[in-house]
Amino acid sequence: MHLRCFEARRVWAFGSLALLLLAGGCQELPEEWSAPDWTPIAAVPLVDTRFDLGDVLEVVSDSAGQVPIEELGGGELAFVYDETFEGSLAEDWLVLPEEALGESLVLGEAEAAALNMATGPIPFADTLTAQLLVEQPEGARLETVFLSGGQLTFQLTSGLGDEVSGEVIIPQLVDPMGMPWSSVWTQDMLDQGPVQESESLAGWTLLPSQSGADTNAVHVEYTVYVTNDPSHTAQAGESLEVSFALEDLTYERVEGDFGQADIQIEQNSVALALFDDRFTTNDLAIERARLSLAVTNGFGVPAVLDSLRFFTEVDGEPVVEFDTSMPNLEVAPAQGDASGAVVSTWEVDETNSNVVDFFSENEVGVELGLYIRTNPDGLAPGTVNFLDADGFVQADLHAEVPLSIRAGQVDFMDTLDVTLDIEETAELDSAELRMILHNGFPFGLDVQAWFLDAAGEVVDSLAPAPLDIFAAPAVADGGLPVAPAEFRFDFTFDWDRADRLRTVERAVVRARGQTSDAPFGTFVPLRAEQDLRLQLGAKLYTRIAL
Amino acid sequence: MTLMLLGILGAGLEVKSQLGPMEITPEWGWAGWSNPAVFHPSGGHIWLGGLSGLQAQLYHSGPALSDFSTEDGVVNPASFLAALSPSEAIDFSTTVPLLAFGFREEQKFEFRLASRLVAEQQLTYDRDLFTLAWLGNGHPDIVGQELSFDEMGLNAQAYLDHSLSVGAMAKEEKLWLGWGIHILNGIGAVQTQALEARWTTDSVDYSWDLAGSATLNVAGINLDSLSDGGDATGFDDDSGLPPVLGSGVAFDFGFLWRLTPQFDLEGAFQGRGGLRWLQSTQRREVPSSAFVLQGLDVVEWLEQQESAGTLDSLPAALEDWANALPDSLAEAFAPNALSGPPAAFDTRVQETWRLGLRYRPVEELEVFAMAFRQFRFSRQRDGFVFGGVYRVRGNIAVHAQGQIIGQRWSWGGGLSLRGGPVRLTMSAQNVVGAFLPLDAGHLQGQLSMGFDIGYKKAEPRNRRNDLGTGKGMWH
Repeated sequence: MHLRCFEARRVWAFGSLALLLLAGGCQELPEEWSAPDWTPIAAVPLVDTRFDLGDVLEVVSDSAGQVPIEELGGGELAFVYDETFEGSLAEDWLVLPEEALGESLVLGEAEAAALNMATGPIPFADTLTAQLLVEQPEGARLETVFLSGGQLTFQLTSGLGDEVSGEVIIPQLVDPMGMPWSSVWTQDMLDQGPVQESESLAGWTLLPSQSGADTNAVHVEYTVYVTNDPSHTAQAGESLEVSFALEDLTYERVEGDFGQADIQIEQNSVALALFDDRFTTNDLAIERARLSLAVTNGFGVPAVLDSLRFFTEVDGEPVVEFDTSMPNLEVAPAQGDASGAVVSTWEVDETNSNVVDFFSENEVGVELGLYIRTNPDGLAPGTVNFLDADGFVQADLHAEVPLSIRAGQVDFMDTLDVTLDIEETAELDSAELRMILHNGFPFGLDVQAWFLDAAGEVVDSLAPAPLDIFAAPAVADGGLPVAPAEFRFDFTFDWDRADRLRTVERAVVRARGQTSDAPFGTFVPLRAEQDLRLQLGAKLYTRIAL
Repeated sequence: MTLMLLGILGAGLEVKSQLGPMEITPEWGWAGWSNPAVFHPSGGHIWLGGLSGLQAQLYHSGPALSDFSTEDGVVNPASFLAALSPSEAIDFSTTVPLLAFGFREEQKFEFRLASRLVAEQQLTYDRDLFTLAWLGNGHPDIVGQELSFDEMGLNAQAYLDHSLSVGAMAKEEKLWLGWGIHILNGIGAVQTQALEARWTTDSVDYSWDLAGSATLNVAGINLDSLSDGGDATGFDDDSGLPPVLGSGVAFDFGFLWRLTPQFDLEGAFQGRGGLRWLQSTQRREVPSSAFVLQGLDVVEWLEQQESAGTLDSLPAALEDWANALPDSLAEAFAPNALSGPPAAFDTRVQETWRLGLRYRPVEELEVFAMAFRQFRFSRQRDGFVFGGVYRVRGNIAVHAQGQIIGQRWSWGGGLSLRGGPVRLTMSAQNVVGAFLPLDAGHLQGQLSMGFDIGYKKAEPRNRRNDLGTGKGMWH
């Protein structure tokens, strides 16, 4: 019984196994496998960069982008404008005149009779005086002129029948050894024709006379000796011609009293526009501004700046005239020579002037003109003015406008030519471009853009509504942002949109901005530590057939 | 590419089975292959050469083909991902017996010696890797999440296992104990000692945050030569014999407690030990590093362009920037070749713990049930196996078993035939997989041929105890 039972079990065991296998059937591996398209989504960071204010302005406005921005220290930023006004060079300010003198010695009846009876030489002496009239600066009295160049010409022509000899001397013209210029001539020289002499005056010194009625006088003293020729009877009317010329005088240094004269500083006129005609602005103001004028005086003459002309104008009409309570700038003279030029600085700001009024949202012309007046109090006793050939006067204007501003409204509208060359990528279904802007500047800006085809029809837009790209951050009492404001936006892109964008030929861009809390009159500072962080990332929706 | 990869992973997979007839029933192998307290049915046995227990296994702990594909061959990658555990492994192991013999004195004592060649490999991977590949790092389920690939790694080793084991009856007909020792000679190894790899894609700005470190040890592989495109085993060795690059020892212990003549309680641990690799070792280490990809710094790029006097287009700059990424990554995670003498490292050999019951309602039939835990390299698997062995006239033994690891069943079986002194065995841990490859694929096969010595001849059928194993031959 037991064995029979066990045999039955044996049958069941094998039968169960067989059933198990048969119930499952035999599977065959498919000859071909297939799978749905592979559609991974790739997320890729593309751009992560920080723009400082200069970078932002370069994008916002071409003209504003050219205005240099500097950090003044402590993070304070300012528009900085530097201009050098080339004033006067010495050789332009004091010009030596040219002088030509001539005189004739004509025998009268008495002189001719005396000469015919004379047994020895008869001297004739005279002095020619040249007044070096300096027209620029007018009234300058020259005491010493160290010449670096020039030409002295002396000519003697004798019309006398008797024998003539003589000499000439210019006591105010001395050579480097201190010897005055002089010359001697004889009849033998005259027999050859007119006596001519010329002298290069480089290294010579002129010592103009100021004594008596002299003003910058140079005296030419000459003596002529006429000896009777028995074979000739002197006649009245015979003459001797003497002429001198001082030409092309240049100096190395001039000393004297230059009087009260103007040293003109170059006039400058600029058209300044922070915003071009694409912008519409309102309630634009700056809080502070500083202006400094540094006059470098390489002339040995004191001066005073009392003639600054600084104004803005629109269409030729002055708008704002510079006004300040600061006393005039006294410009100290150079020390010793031109290399000892002295810089005198004059500074004004919003507390003592109306300089902030020069900031304008509109394009204005800015005119700046100035000159300094020499010896305002006359020449002090025991002193002398001097001027070296390489002397100069210049003025350096340095304007700082700390970027503490208030802009109630800055609107921008422009039409740009746009061509989008989009190549279709088979594996890319669509994409999503994410833009994140962390605005650390205390102003906001929203932007909208419409894309137009050749017919001017709008085919697409940046977004259905203006994008608050530069979200304005909340500001604290001092106008400083509490924390950067974040803007995040996803631009969806697919091939339908790409087809539309391929037809785009123009884009109309409109932007509107204002500084934080501008309606409350708040000035907001723009500082070095503020920046705009731009992050771009893309989600790429790919499709790959397997 | 992905389809090909899925095919490789799914082909013939599903496996989880770790114990089969060879490890459970003595007729399928030499004694001591399994619990050293369990005696071989014959008085002596000799197994020679590569066919005396050749076993090859391919395991994949991940889903079966049917979990993510249809019979028509339509693959559903989403189902594949859903069926994956956080980390999975592909195991391949081959055991080639070289020599084994054993003899016993009745039921009191058995002595065994065996040598075998073992080659095993384990490739582990993280579900996150495939999830990332299929969905992409920008997918809503991925972006913002930290992806971890810490579980990835490759471990492999080949070694000679020379074992000696004994079994002895400790209490008359009640308790048998067994001990074993394995002397291990290492031939070659690859070990991922440590791997840390994390990738997070920021959900807001899509920046990438990568961090990682790794330490790789090898023995018998010349990484310098390999990296130069040369021979992977570029060490000088002209002997022709497998080099002995490491050595180690492992231990077995088992017991069998006969609760009643029908019930046995058995338990064992086997292969507790490992190898220390000392020769021809190399180590590559990637120090803990981080790499953050945030995108092109346009301002800096413009400054560089201006200083260089060139001005490229932004798309071209982005393309250059993208092309430079691999180099940047390679630089950030550059491996260091550690200086100094070659560093020794340790690997574990396969270790199995088990505890179970055997029940013999009649002498021809034995049923069993046992729980087990296996360690392969750094991974651990728990399972449960039950089944029965039916023996026919001492010449034929049929084995059937069901096994579960995790939540997956596999069904196996085996056949052991003996004609005279020659014994031929074959088995598979997942027979159904051969017929239903889409549902269960685990590839495992075993074929053995050996000689039994001192087996008991069959008695007349009308006598009790007519099984070839006879009284005392089966405990």
